[in-house]
Amino acid sequence: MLARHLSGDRHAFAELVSAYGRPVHRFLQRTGVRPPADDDLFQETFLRVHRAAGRYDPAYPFRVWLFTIARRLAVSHHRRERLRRWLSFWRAPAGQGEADGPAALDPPDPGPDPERRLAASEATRSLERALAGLPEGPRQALLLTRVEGLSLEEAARVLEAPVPTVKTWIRRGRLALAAALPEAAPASPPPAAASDARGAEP
Amino acid sequence: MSCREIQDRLADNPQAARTDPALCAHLAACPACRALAEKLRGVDAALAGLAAQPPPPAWVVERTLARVAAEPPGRSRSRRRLRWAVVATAVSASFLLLVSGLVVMGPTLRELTASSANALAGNEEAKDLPDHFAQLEFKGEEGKLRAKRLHGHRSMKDFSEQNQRGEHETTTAKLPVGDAAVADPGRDAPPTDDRPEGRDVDEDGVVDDVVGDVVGGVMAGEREARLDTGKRDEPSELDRRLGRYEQTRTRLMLLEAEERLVAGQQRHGWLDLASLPEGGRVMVDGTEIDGKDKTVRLPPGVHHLRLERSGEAPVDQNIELENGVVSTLELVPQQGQPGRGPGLFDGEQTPLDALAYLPAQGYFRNTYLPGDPELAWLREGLAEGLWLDGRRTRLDLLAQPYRQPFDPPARGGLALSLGADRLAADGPTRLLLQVGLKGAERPASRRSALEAVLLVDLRRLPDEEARRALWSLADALAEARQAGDRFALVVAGGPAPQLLAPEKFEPAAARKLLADALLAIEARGPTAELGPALERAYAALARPGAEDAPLGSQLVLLATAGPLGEEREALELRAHQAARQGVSLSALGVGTGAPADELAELALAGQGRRRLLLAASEARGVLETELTAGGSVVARAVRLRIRLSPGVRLVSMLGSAPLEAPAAERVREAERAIDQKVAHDLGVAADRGDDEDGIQVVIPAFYAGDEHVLLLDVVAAGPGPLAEVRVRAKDLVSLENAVLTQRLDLAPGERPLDRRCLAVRKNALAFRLAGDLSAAGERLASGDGQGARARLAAASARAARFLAEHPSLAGDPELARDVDLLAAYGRALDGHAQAQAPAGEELARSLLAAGKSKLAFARAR
Repeated sequence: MLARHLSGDRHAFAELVSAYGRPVHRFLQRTGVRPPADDDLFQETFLRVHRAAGRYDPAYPFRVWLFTIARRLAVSHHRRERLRRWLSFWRAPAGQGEADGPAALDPPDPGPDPERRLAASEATRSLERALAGLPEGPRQALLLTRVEGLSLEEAARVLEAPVPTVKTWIRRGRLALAAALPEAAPASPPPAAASDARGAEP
Repeated sequence: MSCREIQDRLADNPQAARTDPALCAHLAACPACRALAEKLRGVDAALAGLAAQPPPPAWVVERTLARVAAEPPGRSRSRRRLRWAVVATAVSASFLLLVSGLVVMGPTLRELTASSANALAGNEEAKDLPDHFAQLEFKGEEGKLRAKRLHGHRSMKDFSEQNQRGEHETTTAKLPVGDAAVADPGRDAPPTDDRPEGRDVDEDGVVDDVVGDVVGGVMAGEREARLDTGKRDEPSELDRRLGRYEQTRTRLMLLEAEERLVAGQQRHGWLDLASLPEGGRVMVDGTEIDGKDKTVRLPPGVHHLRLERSGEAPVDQNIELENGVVSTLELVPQQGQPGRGPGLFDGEQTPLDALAYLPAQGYFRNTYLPGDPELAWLREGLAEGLWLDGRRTRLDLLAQPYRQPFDPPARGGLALSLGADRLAADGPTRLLLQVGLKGAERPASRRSALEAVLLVDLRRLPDEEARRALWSLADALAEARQAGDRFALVVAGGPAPQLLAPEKFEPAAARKLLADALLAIEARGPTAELGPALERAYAALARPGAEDAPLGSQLVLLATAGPLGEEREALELRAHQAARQGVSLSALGVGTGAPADELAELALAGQGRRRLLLAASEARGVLETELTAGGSVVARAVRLRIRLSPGVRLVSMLGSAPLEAPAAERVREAERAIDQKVAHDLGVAADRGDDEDGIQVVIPAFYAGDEHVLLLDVVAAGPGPLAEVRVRAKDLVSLENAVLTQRLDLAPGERPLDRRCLAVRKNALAFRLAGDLSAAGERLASGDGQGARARLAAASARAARFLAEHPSLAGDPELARDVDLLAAYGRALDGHAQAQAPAGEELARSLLAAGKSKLAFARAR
């Protein structure tokens, strides 16, 4: 599609946005970019793809490149947001700032906007909340691999981190989500081992 | 397997609970792990469910497509921003100083496109090249492109050279991977000394238009620039401090490029043998190396080296080569040969007639700088000490300057001491002359009223901690105000400098001004200029009758969290001019990003002090010290004149150097200005204006209780007069023009060394050991553990030789402490060989701090 776009096909880029727009928008939102900034960053992501199209290296999966752009934009966005929050902290009257400071510096709530929340199920909302509570690395690693379907190696390229690090993030993220989510129905033991289910912990 | 291990494996792959027999067996017996396995599978299923989400709003898509349609493809913001140039090559991951693809640009080079950067990024152009070549494309109006091999500082060889003329001519050079390019902008190019501007990473992930940053690095006399690929390998604090961030930042991307370009090739490192002594056989892994080939390419790993020279025992050493890295070798002196260590003189083996001599006249650089030494920064983060011999130890605190046997002044503010490292000689002799100064102790008194402007440099957005420190500084200044004080605030960085006038200067107003400035800078981008803000600060101090303000009562305090940039020299000149008018300038580095050397030079030019503020909590103390510092000056316009007797020649002044004519003129002007001001304020007659013969050093202000040592490496023809030193000072204790004079002769024959001679020699040893420790720290910081070890070993050998040559100092506690210190650092380095990188940085910082501590005679004020 990118090659067709470069060769002047007027419809190619629309197809590209149609194919990849949803994952990019979803990823931006879940990395903590709130509306309406998510829409702005969405546009900026594809603009950058368009501008740098001639230098895209086809040896790399397009999705990796695309998510790298989106992720970097999100990182820059959060940096600016932190500055704004920090400024508001310093604008506060003397004495009040210290108490407000740490909270104001926390990352923004990364959940989707209220309207979209309504459409989500209670389970999904719990998951979104738990996901929002994860540190950036584990959260983005899980989003890329479990939601967007990137391989470990591809996610590592997007996150600009070594593969073992990403693997660790994913492990930590899964464990943290498992701990944060509400109790599921009692687990049934595997059939082959049902009779031993009461055994002591080894 | 424990439950913990089982749970980790489950978290790595929840599906393994059904497929891995070992896991299945455990889960059958362990309800807790079984429950976790279920939950983890549920987590994965729920995450997959997140993919079902509504698409972005249609209007967002339409707006995006409309924007895309309005722009032709392939243009990028950074290409439009490209000002001068860029280049690139594929490069070895070499020693940090040598590592990257390099470029230089000048105004004659209108445009230098970076298709080579595309090549680096693995794009189309690179594919057309042999797999071990990268392409460098150079397009410009006029200039010369020269590519050089970079196999180490000492072994650079011209690789190719191409001249180009004419508008938009394009030249292409192909460079082997592992080399780097230096483009010479031509002789007419004005000096360029931009510091990197911290540009944002290009979010498209492609190193397309790379903006080159010119840095003032010198390589074979040329200016060089390093490629700013945008993809940052975040520098450490130490790197930033040492100005090495340009190099570390380029490393990652270039390494990646090399990985692609040399895929499939055999990997190798380089060994630079250029530093080895001549006249011997060098064996690497049992094979003799051709003496002409100073750089050897070897597979990564440990290699054995042996140096054989006639009449000497062979020296064996192992060195570990890393892939793509140039390793420099320095032979570690053999144990048990203390007499072989280096001595106190540079080039001590050189015959006296073959030494290079300096003219013993004219102005030399003043090395006495009051204010916070860099130590404060270096010691930051060392609070817990190094892990050594099973416990935490603050090794850096063991490094202390030697106690000086200088007597305090009997009267007045300053005492002079002149000595040498020997008392007698019969023939031509190389020796050390020492000039010592000591300031009178003076109790602190309440400070006088001050007019001060805090100039906050926000041209680069400081990090969060630095911002807090800046804010606290403004608060502290507002709170420190006393009756009669006039304080103001100027903020640089926005479209125009912002002023908070003295009558409005309150903490809340100061915070608001700073916050507004930050917002404006974030919205519109910072301006690169500090000069207008400095002018605004000086203007704020101007008032009718300001010329009658007492000396030291008008001050600009420049607080910056980053480098001064290309305005540096202009700022120094302006600070000097204002200091002549009686307004001093102190430079305050905030956080770890401010280069201490730049601030030191600025403070010297402004006749103020240099300070470092590392945390917001220190702001009040630092400011208070600064505001009261003027009260502890015991002498102003201290002029040392050192006249060497006929037949005595100057090799060097340790740590100093002759000043160029413009710098010397500034020193004269500053001295005359102080002279006039003191005469005006205190009625001490003006007596300056003429140069004197001999070596001249001018210290603008000397502070209570401080000591200062000047060491001169000289050669005397024989016994007789050595030198005469005269110190003239505006003595603020006795309120008069003080003149102190001492002469020194060299007696014939032999005389035992007295304690003053030994003190001079100890000071020279301290100077050398300080250099050794600092060099070891810098090498370790740049990843050269072997080099650090070699330098420490040299320091130990130096100390051992000193003790062997001076048996009377065998029980000297100061020397014993240094010997122990060097041995302890040696053990710490050995331990570091197996340790992780952070430990290396801590150790490097500790070594640098120890080096500074050895010469820290001036008090932190």
